[in-house]
Amino acid sequence: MQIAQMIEALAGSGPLNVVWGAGCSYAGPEGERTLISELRFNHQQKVSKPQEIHQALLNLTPEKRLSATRKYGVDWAHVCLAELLRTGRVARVLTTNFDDGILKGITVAGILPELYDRHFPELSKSATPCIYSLGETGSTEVAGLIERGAQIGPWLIVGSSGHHFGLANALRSVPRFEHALYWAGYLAEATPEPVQELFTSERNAHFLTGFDAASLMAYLVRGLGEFPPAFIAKNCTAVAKTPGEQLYRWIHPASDGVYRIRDSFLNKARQVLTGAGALRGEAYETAVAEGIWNWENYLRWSPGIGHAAASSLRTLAEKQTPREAQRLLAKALAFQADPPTEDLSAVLHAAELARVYLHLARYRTGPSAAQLFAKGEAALAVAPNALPGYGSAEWAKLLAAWAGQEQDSQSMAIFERAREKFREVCTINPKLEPRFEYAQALLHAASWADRDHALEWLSEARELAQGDQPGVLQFLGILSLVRARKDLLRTAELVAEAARHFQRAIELLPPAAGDLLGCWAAALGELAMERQGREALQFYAAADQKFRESEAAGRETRALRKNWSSVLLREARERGGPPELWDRARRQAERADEIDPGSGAYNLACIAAESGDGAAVEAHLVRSAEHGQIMPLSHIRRDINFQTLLGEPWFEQLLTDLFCYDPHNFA
Amino acid sequence: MSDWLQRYQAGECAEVWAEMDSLGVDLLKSSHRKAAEKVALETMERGRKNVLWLFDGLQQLGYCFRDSAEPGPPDYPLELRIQATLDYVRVKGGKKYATDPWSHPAFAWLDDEDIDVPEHHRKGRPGRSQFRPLGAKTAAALEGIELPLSVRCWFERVGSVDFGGTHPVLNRAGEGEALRIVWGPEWVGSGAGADFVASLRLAFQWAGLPGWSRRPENPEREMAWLRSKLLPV
Repeated sequence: MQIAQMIEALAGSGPLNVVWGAGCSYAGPEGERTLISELRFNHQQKVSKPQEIHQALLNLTPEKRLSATRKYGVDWAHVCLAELLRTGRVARVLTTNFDDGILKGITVAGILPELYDRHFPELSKSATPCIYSLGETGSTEVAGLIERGAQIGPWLIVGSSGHHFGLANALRSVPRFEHALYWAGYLAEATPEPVQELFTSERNAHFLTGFDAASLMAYLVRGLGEFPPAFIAKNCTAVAKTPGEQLYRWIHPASDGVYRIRDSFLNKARQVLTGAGALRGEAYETAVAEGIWNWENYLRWSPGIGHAAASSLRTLAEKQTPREAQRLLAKALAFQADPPTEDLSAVLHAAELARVYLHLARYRTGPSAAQLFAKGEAALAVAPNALPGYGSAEWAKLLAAWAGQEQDSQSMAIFERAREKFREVCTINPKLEPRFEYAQALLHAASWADRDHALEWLSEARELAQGDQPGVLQFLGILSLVRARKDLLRTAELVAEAARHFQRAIELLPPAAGDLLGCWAAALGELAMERQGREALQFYAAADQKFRESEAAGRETRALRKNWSSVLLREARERGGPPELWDRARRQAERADEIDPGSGAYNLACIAAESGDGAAVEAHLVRSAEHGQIMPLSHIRRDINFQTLLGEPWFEQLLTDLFCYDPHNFA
Repeated sequence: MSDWLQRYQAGECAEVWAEMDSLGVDLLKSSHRKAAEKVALETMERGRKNVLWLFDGLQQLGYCFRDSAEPGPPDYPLELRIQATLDYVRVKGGKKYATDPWSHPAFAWLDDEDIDVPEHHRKGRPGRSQFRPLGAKTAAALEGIELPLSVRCWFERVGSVDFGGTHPVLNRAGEGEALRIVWGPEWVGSGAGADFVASLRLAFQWAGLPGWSRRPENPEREMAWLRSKLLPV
């Protein structure tokens, strides 16, 4: 049967009796899945299939039932049902659901139908309109009510699987529905098995496909009256750009024009996902599921900002294991499956896609990583030119990160492309901020580039970073020491120049002395790592001295402990011990770990690798991964501490276990 | 006369239609009727292929098809239904329907109920109002109405066609004249309908955008590519 025929028939008939099934409240596979998850994790119910939902809800107290189900109402199905009750097109609603969607709907409509909760009169003797709340009622009683009331008017069954409350048997026992029976199936799903024999012309019973509850009820309201209902389409309702969003706004109006329910999806999603970073185990899983659920609901009616949802998942992924991060990033990509049509959103969308692919590339190496970078770049390349400065800046950062992360034969050429993009940005936006970002990229790239390129890039960085602010001076101090690493003939001069910059920065900003000294120490340590023999030891000693001064002057920070540990580790390696140096490196890493769990684990793994303790390497790398602190895969493969382990089956298997995420080949 | 079809197929398209047209209203009553119908069928079969190619080729060039008629108010219940079905296909449709959810059987109701998908969902693809192919409800509307042979055959073999839309080069603001043949009472008439075929010929010569015939410069590269797969009518 087609909807037009049904509406034509109903237009000339008496008011409907509606059986309101679970599909009207938590519609579709996703709604059911979310409720099952809610019942399992938050209410410890043993439920795995949609058919078990009702019993699981029955096991809860009424308050907990409402708490578990209230997030599902109100939607258009409830609003339209309320309108049909208001206009007298529906006489009775028989519902087995526990959510408060109908209550919200009739409240918005401003009507108070009779509500039968425990004592149910025969349908023919009920008030109209009325609602039978049958959730806790036995099958026999429900079936009896329907059988005895079969001829009181036309019937509409919506959102029902036919498996519960003896509904199928009750309907089959009726030889003919004098006023017709209409069963609305769910979209393209087949006729429910329990009622397959029900639909015959003799019985005057009809099956309708191609609708969910909300759209079916909206069609009925339009066909039998006016859509949207007058109580919804208020003058104060703002006009949305898309019909989808307008529909959403209509059912979530507020007197002050703020659409709280929609906004609450957004706020709740962000709040829950931000909080999830501090959780572990089931609590984490529940929070992530809730965050994603809220995003999905928000995006359902406010499409075009999938990048914001992706961004919140990517931020969460920063502190997760590579496997979990990849699961989250896969969802982030799914949120961005449909590029927005609006130009500005499309640019933001492309930039976020590039960031997601860049993050994913941490867990790959070689061509597989390159493919991901390329996908990120492709997204930026096809983005509209609506925000030229922003788009080019994101593109430049992607390329610079790509070059630095992989550090292979292509890196120089890739970074040259980054430079072109940075220059574009500086031309479009000549302010200090983009110039400083470019200078930082040049400095970072110089640390891994060959001597000639490094010196050229550092000169350019020096020209870009002008000023006498502490941040710029700190940058110039590091720049001088990176230059010293590359320019053997001017080492002493550049080290002295760096000292002047750092000292000036400390004078200008004494409260930051600890951090500045720590930064100075780390840069000296890196200089030491590139020298050998006595010269190296001299710089290691200078770095150690600065770390001590930083410790005395500043706060206890993760960066201080971790960097100190790294420098001690390299010095111990350089000198072949002695054991107390290894111990000091270990202690610093352990203190970093105490400040920020997992942050010292990578260095501890390096130390264990030096002593040939494979079990400890594994334990520390796993801990590092568990806290989202592990280095990118390409970094580990380049790390001098692990060179002797590369190729060993247990170590390769460990890397695979840590980084591999089979279900998604993102490239 | 019996060699009309052979001559048409040999390239004398305009000449054959002119001869048929010269017989006036007597064409369909005369002994040449069958031969004329064969030519009309061949012409419209070519026209159908041309139309299908242009819908495809224009989209490949980034052409966004748009309804010529002024957009009406949104059909909100339909929007809800489409959204629900899209959600359903996203969850249940698998990879096969990820890129084109509209071809999923869950959208069978669009055909069953002859519903045109609102333009903002189509993302530039032609809708039902742009192309109602053979078998659509147009054919039934022709019964009992006197039409020129070419027009009747077009609506029977091709259907309603509207190439209205926008493209940065081909139709910048959507203001350029595009081929638009939509069923209506203005088509009533008699005879062979050679002028209708001539208008088709002009439209295909300009890749469905005959407005270019009156403009001094045209997008030669795009036109040449589109014309390369068009059949002469």
